[in-house]
Amino acid sequence: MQWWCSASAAPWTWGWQAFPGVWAVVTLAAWGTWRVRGLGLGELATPEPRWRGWAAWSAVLLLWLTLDWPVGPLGAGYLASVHAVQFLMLGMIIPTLALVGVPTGAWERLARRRGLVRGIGVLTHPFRAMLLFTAVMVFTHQPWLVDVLMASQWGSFALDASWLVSGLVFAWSLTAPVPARPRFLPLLQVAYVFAGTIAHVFIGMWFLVADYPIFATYELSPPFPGLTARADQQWAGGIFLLVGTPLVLAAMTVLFFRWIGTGAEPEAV
Amino acid sequence: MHVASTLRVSPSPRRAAAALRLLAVVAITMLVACGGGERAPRAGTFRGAPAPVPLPKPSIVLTDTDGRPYDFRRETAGKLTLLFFGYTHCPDVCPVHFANLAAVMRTLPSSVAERLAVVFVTVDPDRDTPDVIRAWLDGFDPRFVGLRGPAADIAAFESALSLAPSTVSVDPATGDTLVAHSGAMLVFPDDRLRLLYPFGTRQDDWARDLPRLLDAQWPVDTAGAARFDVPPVTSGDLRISGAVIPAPAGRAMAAAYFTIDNQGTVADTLRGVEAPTLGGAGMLHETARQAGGTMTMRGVADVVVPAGGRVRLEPGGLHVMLPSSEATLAPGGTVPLLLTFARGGRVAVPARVVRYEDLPVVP
Repeated sequence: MQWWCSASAAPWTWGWQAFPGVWAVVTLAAWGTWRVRGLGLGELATPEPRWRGWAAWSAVLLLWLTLDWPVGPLGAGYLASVHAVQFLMLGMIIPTLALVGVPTGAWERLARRRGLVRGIGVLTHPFRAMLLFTAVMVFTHQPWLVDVLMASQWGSFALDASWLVSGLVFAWSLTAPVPARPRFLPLLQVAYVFAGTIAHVFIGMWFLVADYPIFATYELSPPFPGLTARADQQWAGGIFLLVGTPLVLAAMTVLFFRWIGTGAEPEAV
Repeated sequence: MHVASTLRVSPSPRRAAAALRLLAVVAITMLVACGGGERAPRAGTFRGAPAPVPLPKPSIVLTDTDGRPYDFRRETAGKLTLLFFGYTHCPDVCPVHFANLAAVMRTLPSSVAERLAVVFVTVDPDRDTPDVIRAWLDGFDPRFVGLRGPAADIAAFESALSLAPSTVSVDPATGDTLVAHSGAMLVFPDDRLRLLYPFGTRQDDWARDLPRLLDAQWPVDTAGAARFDVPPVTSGDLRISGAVIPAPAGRAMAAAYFTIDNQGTVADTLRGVEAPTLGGAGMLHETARQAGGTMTMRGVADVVVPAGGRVRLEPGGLHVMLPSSEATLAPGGTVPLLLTFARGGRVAVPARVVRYEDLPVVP
């Protein structure tokens, strides 16, 4: 039994497989969400909007769906297109939902821990976070690295974890009020989102126009019925461009109109 | 929503400079990465592995998917031939090989693609009927040729190419059919096996190598010993021709090959071979395939040459093992051999030292 999804030489079947490592991570995320929300909600004098709760638990649900069977093993060893979906989920959508789902009271409790906030501030400084997210995105789509990492469970785990962590770091300064960044104005946030995610456009185009499959992991895996390795790679490029780009544009649009609506006052989401 | 906090993070010029350097590294990496995933081999090399011995194309006749006889050597003459032994129920190696090959062939100009012959030989003829093979191959490329035949013929085909015989068995526990077969694509740019491409050969490997295989200058071989300027030797009823010794290339022993024709009416027996300039007697050996598919070499006391018959000492069969010497066994040189026959006596035969890839095709 594998504890995490990784590339396999076995032909794909629709038989269910257990990945206990995924369950452990999702359980930890669920416990953390419950704990943070419990602590945060206990701090509040006024009710929290329900959508925060939906966002938080959606993040946990999407985390489970993204990592567990069938998406997990498909993305890890058979289909580049599913791998692209996993990146968008782990790197962009889940971290954002998780952070916006944190209750205000939890942020207030965090703010009282000055040392921790200072450390988080260093890690999530926008320029640094942008570079980290871009570097992780670029490096984790290099064939020489992907083919090595996907071949082992630990490597595949490292890949998934790097996406999640870099996504959290990237989304933090956009969504978290702690630490406060009064000079990180909404227009700067728009530029931050653009600059930090632009690499996905190049990666998507690369997948789309490459003459031959880029990743040995997917090219040499047992063929998936009805889909060639190159067509699958082109689907991956399309997902990057046609799903990833609208996500980024949507985020930029929200930030822009929030700036328009609230004036020049710096305000976290 | 505001959260009271007096904590702020202030950038510094030193941090900004470090961040800019990191950004430059990332940008350069992106530019390099987007150049593609090609792994460049050394100039002049192929990604396939050279065949240990450049064996000639076997003249084996099987049946194609239209039910017609297909002589492998004749039908693929003059073409860059890719030969694969597999089965259509193969879950991974066979379909990946053929999918990758087909994908690349679709990108080749027709003038290049029509010079290729891709031949699939099923090692599971019970399940792989002609219709099954044709449907499977058509899923990749209708130009691919599918062959099937009796298991003995398939085994002979594989044996002629020094491949371990494929096996088909049934797992008693699960009832699954288990097939063991060579996973390599055998490539014949001319009339000899030159390269083997294992499973794991990628599309950009084929894209790079196929056009170069067509244009590569392989040693051109003509028939017999005349190419090596070693005339046949006649002694009584015996005629010894084509005596060659492949250069040992660092190996401790060398092998000698030749053909003996007995034009008389009485059989003769080759009792021994000596190589005086190599400092010792040669030993007659025969390479044979064991039941498990392994190749073994055993000593042979003597070789009978029947009346009116021919005996060939050739790679994969009978041969003479000789002590080797890099100095005296350089390609282009000549080594005198002394053959001792029971009736014909001692016959001196000059053997030409050649490179392995220059071994003559045995008609």
